[in-house]
Amino acid sequence: MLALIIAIPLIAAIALFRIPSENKELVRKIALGSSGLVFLLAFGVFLGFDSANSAMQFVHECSWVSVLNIQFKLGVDGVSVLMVLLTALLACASIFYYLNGKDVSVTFLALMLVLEAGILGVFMALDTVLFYVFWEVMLIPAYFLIGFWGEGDRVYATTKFVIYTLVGSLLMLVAIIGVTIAHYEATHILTFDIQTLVHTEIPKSDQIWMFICFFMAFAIKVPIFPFHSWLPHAYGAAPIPVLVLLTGAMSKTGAYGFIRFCLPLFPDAAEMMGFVIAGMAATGMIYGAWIAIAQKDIKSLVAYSSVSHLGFIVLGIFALNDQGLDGSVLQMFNHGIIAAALFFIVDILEKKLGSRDLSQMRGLKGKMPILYGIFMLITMAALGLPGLNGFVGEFLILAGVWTSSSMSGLAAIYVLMGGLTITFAAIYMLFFFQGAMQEKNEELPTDLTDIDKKQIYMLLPACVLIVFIGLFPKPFVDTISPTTKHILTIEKTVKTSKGHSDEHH
Amino acid sequence: MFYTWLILILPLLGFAGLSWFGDRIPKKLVGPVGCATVGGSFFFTLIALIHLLSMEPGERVGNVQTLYHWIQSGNFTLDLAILIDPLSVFMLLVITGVGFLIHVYSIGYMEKDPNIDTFFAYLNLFIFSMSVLVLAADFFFLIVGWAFVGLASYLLIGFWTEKTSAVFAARKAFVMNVIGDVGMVIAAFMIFENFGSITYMDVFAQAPEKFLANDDTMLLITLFLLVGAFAKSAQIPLHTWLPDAMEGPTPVSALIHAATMVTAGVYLVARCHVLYDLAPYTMMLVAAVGVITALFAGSMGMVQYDIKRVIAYSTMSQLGYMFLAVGIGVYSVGMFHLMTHAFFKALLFLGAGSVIHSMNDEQDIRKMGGLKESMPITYYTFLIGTLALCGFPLTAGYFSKEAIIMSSWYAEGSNPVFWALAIAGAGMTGFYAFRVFFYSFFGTCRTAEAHPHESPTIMTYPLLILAFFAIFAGFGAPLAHSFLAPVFGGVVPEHHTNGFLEIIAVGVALSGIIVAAIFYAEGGEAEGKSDGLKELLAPIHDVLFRKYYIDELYDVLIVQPVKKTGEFIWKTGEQKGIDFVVDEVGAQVKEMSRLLSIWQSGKVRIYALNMIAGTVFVLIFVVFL
Amino acid sequence: MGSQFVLIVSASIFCIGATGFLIRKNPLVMFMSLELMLNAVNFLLIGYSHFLKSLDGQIFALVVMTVAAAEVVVGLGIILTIFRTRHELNVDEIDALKG
Repeated sequence: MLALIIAIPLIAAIALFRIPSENKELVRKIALGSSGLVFLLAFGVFLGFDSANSAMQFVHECSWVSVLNIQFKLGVDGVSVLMVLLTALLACASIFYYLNGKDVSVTFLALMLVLEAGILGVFMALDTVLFYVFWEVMLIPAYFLIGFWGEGDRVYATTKFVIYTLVGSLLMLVAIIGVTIAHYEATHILTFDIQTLVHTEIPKSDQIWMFICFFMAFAIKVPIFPFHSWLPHAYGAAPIPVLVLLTGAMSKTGAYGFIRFCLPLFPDAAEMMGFVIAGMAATGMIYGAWIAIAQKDIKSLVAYSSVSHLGFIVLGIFALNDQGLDGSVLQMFNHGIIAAALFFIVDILEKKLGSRDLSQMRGLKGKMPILYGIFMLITMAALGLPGLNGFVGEFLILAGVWTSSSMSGLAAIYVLMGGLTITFAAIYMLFFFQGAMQEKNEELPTDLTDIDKKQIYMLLPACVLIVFIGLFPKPFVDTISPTTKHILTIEKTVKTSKGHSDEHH
Repeated sequence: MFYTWLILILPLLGFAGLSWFGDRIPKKLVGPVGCATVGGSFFFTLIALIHLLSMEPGERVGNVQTLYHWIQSGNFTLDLAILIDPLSVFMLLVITGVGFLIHVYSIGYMEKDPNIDTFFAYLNLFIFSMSVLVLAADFFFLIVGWAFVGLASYLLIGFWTEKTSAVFAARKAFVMNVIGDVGMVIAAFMIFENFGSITYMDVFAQAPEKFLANDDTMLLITLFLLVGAFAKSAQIPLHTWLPDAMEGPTPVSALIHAATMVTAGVYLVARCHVLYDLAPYTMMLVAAVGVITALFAGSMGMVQYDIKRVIAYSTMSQLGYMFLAVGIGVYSVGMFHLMTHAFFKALLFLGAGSVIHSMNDEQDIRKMGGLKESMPITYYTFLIGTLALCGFPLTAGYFSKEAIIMSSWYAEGSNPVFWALAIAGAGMTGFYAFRVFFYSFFGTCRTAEAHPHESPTIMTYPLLILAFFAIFAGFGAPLAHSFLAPVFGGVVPEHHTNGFLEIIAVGVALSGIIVAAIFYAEGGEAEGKSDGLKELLAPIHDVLFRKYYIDELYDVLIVQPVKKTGEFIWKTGEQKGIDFVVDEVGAQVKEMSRLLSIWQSGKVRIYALNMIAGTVFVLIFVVFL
Repeated sequence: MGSQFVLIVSASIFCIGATGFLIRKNPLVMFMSLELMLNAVNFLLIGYSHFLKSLDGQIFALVVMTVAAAEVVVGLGIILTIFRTRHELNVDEIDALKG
């Protein structure tokens, strides 16, 4: 089932390359059909997922490089099942959105599908090498998508994005090998299986450098302050369907990496450096929010608000307790939906008005009442109004930070920073929403129309999820919670520290 | 008591229904639908009241109705539950009762507005949120309700979205309230950390055992809760949004910014009285801020010309009195003033609305005058409201305010300074309340083209009903105190009688009225005659009129620096700092490879020489070493 | 006549070739020097094939000759093209790959 989820978009991508691009209807059917099918499968996995069970489920396993015992092993737990669902949903939505645009490029669609497959693979891989491969697979389509179809200084943006990310991921490759060697030294079994490796106790000094290597890869991908400088350029240049996948799903791979690797593999290092990273994350969330206040370009406003929200997510992860981690995973899902919806709205406004400058738009409410309502709901979710999904996540994260034992003295400061961030979020989101929609404007073009049915259908799922998670977070938190508990309490059964290893032999 | 859920569900249904189908049903039907849901809520509140009264006093507290298990994360669990006790029912009576009257009034007031369906949807949303706030059985849903009333207030202040000033006022109110929400959230974390639970029942049961009075933790928790309370109830220093909030339609001002939402802060202190009793220092602060706000707002109200702003300042001032009451520990006295205030302040706002309506949306009292003849019902009801506001003997305001002033002399946590300030505030109240009254109803009309007329009956009936309560509600004081007593540990506040003090209090209030009469009995400034008060107060008039320059001060100290810093971080920190460093790393790598590439001379013979030299070197290495 | 003789002759030829390659500037002469070096190796291979009583060395020599022939074809082609476009044949002047 999981292998199918990855295979379908890849096969569809190949098929799209092969068929003549004049056949618009067929292109449409393949692209939409495959991404829709993936979403249905992902939803099926979500429904079939046993949330009480913290183990990996739907595991698909076969040998890949048998000499090195590298396996093609996929599986989902409570964290990844939500991410898979999110990715499939966003990919489906952005492809749908792209197909409703004017020019449809077959190559674009094919690359989008490859990107989708890459992200899905990252979330499902249970083998470090396989994880690394998918990690790089994500990068290639993203490079071309931004480089060919982007706007502004797109080559600079995409080059910066790819090189910056690559630096991190190469460090990660080193650490991946390091972890396996550490395991090999203790047991003389060569394996890249994540589930086996997490039980290995790595000596503290080794933990630190390996942790930093993994951390760099994920920190750049998320990105957290101060490794975020590719983001404004890449987000600014990326076309909206790509951007939705980038911010909604790809940025989550970084946060997911923290949860999948950094915490279970290197608990001591995470404990030791948690408060530093939380400090970076907390700085980043204020930093992003503060810059967002100064933005006049709505696309970069939303981009910087993403920096802020992603900081929030990472902060929760490094609280290193149940609430913080649950909140972070839930917030990953929430932010994926909210940010994606906001970027769609940015693009709709840009297409209708021909400008993204906030000072150019005013008083759209009169002409676009439906968008007004939807936009208001999403704004409220983005600024963390209680009762909507954003708040549940933020509340859990801050509660986790407040009670976190690993950052005892600094916890209060981080929570206060979180409070300031929420206040800033209210300011910039209201600047955006009120500035665009309210007040009086006589100069609006007369042929301005409200959003059409297709656009409503696209934004509607976001609205439903925003309200649903806000009111009934339990099914989601119940899915996440056993897994996070498991991750925080993994037992180290394989000892590799030098003193112990002698006794083993 | 499961039917109490209907109190919440009805307005929610109203909101959902009106926002989805509002534009598809006849405009005439929108108002009645909106009223019916709130009326239904009021009905069920009455049933709950009777139900509670039928119980033994001891059983009336702690009735928690759980709907479902809401969330479970680690050791943090929470049910979706509501709490029915005398305090919440008392608040609900005000919310749904006064709310219902204001809904009815709105049918007339908003009749011609094209977006009347949205308006009623928002009003229903507000009633729903406010009910969540008071019915919450734990701090989490308190915060949810807290933020939702903020949202409803935001939506209704900015209801006329085409009006720039309304949009800005709405934004200001929202941001100020978010600051309050953050304070509450932090308080909730501290409570969770210390008590392992955030339901009222667990926390209030544990608190007295776990903490001594004035424990640091207790002080911090109560202070963070206060941030929320002060932001919502427009107390210094978080008060600046309330006068601006008058940009919204007048029924909104009556409902949200006078009768119900702004009193949430008082409710919060009363609800958490167990915690506040353990933090006498915080109580002191509550009382001090309350009484200072009472005075401060009163002084600003004396010189304003916008009829709604004057009433808004009086609201702030009366809220100050309520905070004084709860701050000195006489909770049910404060709650009772909350109720009478809801009656007479809603009455005043609706009266003002009636005036504004008939003057074609004119709010400046300098342009009114002489409305006595043309609007008799409004005139008399407004008079009653004004008298009640001033605490004129035997009106509702007299009983409730008098009790606060007397308690401020006698209560343990108080001191004579509070009493003196409270008295001074009462004098101001008399003055500004009657100033507005004389300005609007006496003399002759100062706008030639206006044709003031009495409002339709749908607007005057609510006025009459509220006027009735504004006069007679005061006699219910003993009933209210004994009804609320179980919540506040069975304490019924003593009724202090001291003829001398009472005479002082009433005397000061009356002298305020008399001063107003001296200056304005002829209907305020007539043509060519300047404002007598303005000359008298010349040195400080501007300071008062510009609201002590606090808006300007906040702009200079907070708003502009935040914007400038944002700009600075973006332009300098981000683009010239972090981004520059990253680009520079790339540039340096390039530079280094340029240096290395000098080795690549492009000359074949040099390559060959290198190759051979290398081979020789390796050979030497292998053979001889 | 021992294997030493083969080694010395081979090394001498190789050194002559290498020196020629380094000091001449005409690509054609450089080519001939290159062939000389290859032949030095071939000589060694064949010589040792004789001493070790194994045909491997001779087979390998054949392979080297084939490669050399192929190389000459490609190389001469390149040299001709360069000559046609630049009308001179000084290797020191041809440094388009300069970094």
